[in-house]
Amino acid sequence: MTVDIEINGKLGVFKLEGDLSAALEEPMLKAYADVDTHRPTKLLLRFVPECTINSAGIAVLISVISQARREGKHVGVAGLSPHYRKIFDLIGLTEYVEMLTDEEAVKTFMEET
Amino acid sequence: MNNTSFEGQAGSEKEALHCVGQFAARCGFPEERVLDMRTAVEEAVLNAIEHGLLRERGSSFRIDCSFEKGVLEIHVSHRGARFTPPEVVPDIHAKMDGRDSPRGWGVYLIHQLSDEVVFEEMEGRNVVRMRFVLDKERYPNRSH
Repeated sequence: MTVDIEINGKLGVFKLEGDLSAALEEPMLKAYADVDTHRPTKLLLRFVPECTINSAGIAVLISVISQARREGKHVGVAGLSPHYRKIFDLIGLTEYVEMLTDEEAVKTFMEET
Repeated sequence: MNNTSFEGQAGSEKEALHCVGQFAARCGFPEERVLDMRTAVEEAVLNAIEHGLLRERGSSFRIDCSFEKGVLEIHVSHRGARFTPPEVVPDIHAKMDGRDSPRGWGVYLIHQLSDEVVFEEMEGRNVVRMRFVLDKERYPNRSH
């Protein structure tokens, strides 16, 4: 599992790859802290379509999204496979993030920063 | 072949899921339902590891799959203290605003992704019985 970050103006991008489980917590919190030093106003969680996410990984994502929202950051999600889009919908996470279902939507999200 | 079993320890979850996924695909389930099954079984196995295997050294979990009359039944079991599943549906709003732990989605996902689920204790083992109906139009009553 890897978490890579990229700063693009006021946008912080997290590229998430692999099996996202409880082990995601440490690298994700570190990545968040690194991104936050650039004072972003928007965050993009970009999943590699082949990645898998279990309930412990979802808990880590909820913590990060919750923190971002408390800090007034807008969060977008891209790259999720249809199965995990369904999981996000089932647990209600889609109410708290902007779901970007194609590259055009991702491009618009990034340009609006 | 209409049944298969897998016995594993913490760390062999992926192998177990691969085994379940292959069996479900051979039974004719579409990829979307196979992915549902894999997620539900993964959560049941993680539960077994968290509540059983990590507390009893050397213990294992077991997965038994059987397919009959259009229904795939999957049992995930382990020895350990009785597990009582939470009855409260997790509240994303409470989790997002910090009133509740962000964890606690496993049992909810198992319920949502399977056609029927029962948590029970059998002969000293905690068993999660999940049923998946292949063709709901052809076997409308099979999930009840």
